[in-house]
Amino acid sequence: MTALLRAGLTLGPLLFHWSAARRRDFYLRIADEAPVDGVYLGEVVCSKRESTFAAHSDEVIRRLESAGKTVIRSTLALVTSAREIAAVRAAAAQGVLVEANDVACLDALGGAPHIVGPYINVVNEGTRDFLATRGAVRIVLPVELTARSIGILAASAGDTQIEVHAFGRQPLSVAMRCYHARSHQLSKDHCQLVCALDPDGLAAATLDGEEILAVNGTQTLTHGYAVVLEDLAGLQAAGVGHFRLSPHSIDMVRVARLYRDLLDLRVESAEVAAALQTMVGRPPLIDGFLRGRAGLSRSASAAPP
Amino acid sequence: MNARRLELVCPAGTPAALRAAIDAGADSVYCGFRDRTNARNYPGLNFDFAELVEGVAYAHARGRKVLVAINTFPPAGDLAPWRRAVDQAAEARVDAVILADIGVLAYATAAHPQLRRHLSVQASAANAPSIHYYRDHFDVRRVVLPRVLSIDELRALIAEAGVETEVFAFGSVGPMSEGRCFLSSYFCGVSPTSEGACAPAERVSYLERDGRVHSRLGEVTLNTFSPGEPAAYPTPCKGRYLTHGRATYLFEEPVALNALGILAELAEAGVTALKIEGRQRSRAYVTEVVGTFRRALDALQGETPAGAEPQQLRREGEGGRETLGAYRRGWR
Amino acid sequence: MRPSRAISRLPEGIATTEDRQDGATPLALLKILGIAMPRPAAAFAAKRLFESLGRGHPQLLANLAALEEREVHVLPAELPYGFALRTGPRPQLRVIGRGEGQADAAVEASAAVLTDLIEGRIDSDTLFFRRDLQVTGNTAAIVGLRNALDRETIRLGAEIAAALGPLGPLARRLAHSIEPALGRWELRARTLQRALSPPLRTSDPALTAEVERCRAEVAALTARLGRIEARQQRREERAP
Repeated sequence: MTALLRAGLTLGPLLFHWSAARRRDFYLRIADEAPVDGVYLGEVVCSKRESTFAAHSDEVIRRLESAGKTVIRSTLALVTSAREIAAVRAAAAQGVLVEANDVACLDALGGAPHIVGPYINVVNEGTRDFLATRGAVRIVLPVELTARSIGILAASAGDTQIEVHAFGRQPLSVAMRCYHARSHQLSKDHCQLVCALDPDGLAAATLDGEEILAVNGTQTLTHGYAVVLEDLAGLQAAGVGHFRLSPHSIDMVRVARLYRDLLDLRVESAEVAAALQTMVGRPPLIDGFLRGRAGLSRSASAAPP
Repeated sequence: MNARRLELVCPAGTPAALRAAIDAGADSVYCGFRDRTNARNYPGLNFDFAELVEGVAYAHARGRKVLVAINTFPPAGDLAPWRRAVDQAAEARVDAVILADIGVLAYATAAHPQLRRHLSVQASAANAPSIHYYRDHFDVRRVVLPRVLSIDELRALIAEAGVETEVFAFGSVGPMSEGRCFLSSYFCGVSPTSEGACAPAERVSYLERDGRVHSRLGEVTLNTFSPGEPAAYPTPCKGRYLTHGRATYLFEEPVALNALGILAELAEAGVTALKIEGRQRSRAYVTEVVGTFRRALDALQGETPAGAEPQQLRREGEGGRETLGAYRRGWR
Repeated sequence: MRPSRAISRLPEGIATTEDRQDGATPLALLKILGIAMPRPAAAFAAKRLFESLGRGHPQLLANLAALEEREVHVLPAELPYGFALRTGPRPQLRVIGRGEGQADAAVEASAAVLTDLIEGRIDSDTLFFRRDLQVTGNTAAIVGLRNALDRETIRLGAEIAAALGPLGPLARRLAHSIEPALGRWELRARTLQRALSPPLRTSDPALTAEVERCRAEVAALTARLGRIEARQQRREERAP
């Protein structure tokens, strides 16, 4: 048996708008209990939420780092205002490892080592290699990629690490418009941060009543929770170095333990699927993008037995 | 005082539409090859190499320009078609290529340094640092700005951009940040970003039930219409969804962008070029929309007495209704 | 205000200045094909039309051949039969009865709208947004067909006249003389068509009566066509 590089688990940035107290409790528990190697902190979706986290961020960062976890500073996915540009520049200048989610951040970094987030389209070797020569040490691939594409990009990545989304609702779009506010008949400028009402996003259903999307402020996500289960070992063998778990209101420590066990071959993927489905409740586990099919679809391996 | 001259950039899905656009007064025409390398990869549409060469000859003979959109993102292991498209555009002596993918930009910069490069709206560069990144690394000369900025934001951005800017003046507006919207592939499995078709026709169906027409993308119901109710393109962002038990156009109404009424403001903000959306539309649309904008721009520049009435194009647009979109802050 | 606009723009579709200039009136000619001609004659004319189109526009045939192999039914709302167009390696045009044959996709609209579409005078997406064009089945087949047609400049009137050969000038004169009456009938048919949207289809006796009156008028028009035809023919024979 060939010795494989042990793939790591990361906790992606919290996409939803939780209260400061809830965030603090969440991350402190992650620091103490979750078998993840890296934790991404920082607001990705909406700059109006940014102040919420600042109150406890120093404490959280200290606790995570003393637990041996790498802390990565995530940045906004859609940057337009002068204030947002300034925030991205400030993050890039902090000297910490940054996840760039808009090309503005790449410009601000000026070639310093960084992680490229999933909101920057890196879907082929040409883009990957260009970014790698400009300081990208790790690339988090866009959620739309198939297992085949991921395999190609990981296999020839050289020193550049590859990370893929392995658990949670997948981000499908970002916009200037706030759909959360719109659903409450409010404008974005007077949104009252109604996105805080839905800790995992607001369900949007088709006119047939089929729940299909989750709205999270200016972001739109899948209704189903994406999983990488059966393919985990194969992708790891192909060279994927990190698998991302995206925070939800369910027990993320348990999710992390399930994935860690699966990576360490201590559990079957079907068992993990069953456990995750029970935790997630009504939304399906999906893996369509990975299979090159409609993203909302689920293969047999994502379906619990 | 005459306003600065705005370049009118017009869509051509076919050679016939290219000629129609130029005859109707386009300063530049943009088009794509008959494959996945551009974001309007629809059946029967677009140009082969010989048609492009003829189109360039037709435009250049009349002092106009041809821009070629190679603005999708090549999937892993499959860069060859995009490189070939860039090579062919250069060989056809087009005036610029419109690119989005960093890998394709890097290729074009290395292989054809003399070929002028524009940044596609698919690259979603909505701020000055992003624009500077593309300018500094790939010598991008013009950026097509995302349809997410208000006039005030546009003015501020243009002051800092350091390259020419092109903005959308008419056509279908997606409310999402372009080039990174996966809604269509989530619904139907075909990626707009790498296969060049949002809500491709082969995945769209219409069926009649209970006196209403149901539009579907893949297996998903996007909307239902009563007879005579205006329709939009069958894209996920123009569908109707239930939130809080209410059915609404959650993302965007069936409306078309029409900036005919704010051309002076756009000129004053420092915009270089106005873009008309619609390579998927027929030459009748091209003739009508381009002609109307030509008259309005000529009037703006004081060359003719009166411009077109903004409402003149209403029937051409999605849903038969218009919006100023993000140009007005209330849109958000 | 949509319906009234849709109706008020019909006469311009029936006879545009452009049509007058080249002496062809495509819509009236289509009507003659559709209403006055018995089906075998129409089928023959359609075949001739397609062959003649292929000779005049070889690129159109190539573009149709480059599409996927599909059958699209084009159904002018007022005609008793429609047209089946095959795209793919062996493009073909046939006359079909309503509901006849297996279509991959179907387009239904008034003959005026379809004529404008084929001649590139109006955009199909515009019609779709206004719901003046009904599309069913494989949308890609229709999009492909529309784009193939839009690449060529087709003057349907001239094409029909050319396809009819020696009968062409006669047909054109016929079309001119019958056109005003057809236009009036078209407007009424159009109004009815809107009124008879699915939920109302069978309910209203007044509408049913109006349909009957329309049918009678069509019959009268057809008879009148016959008389005009006979008169024209006598004139042709008398001419030196």
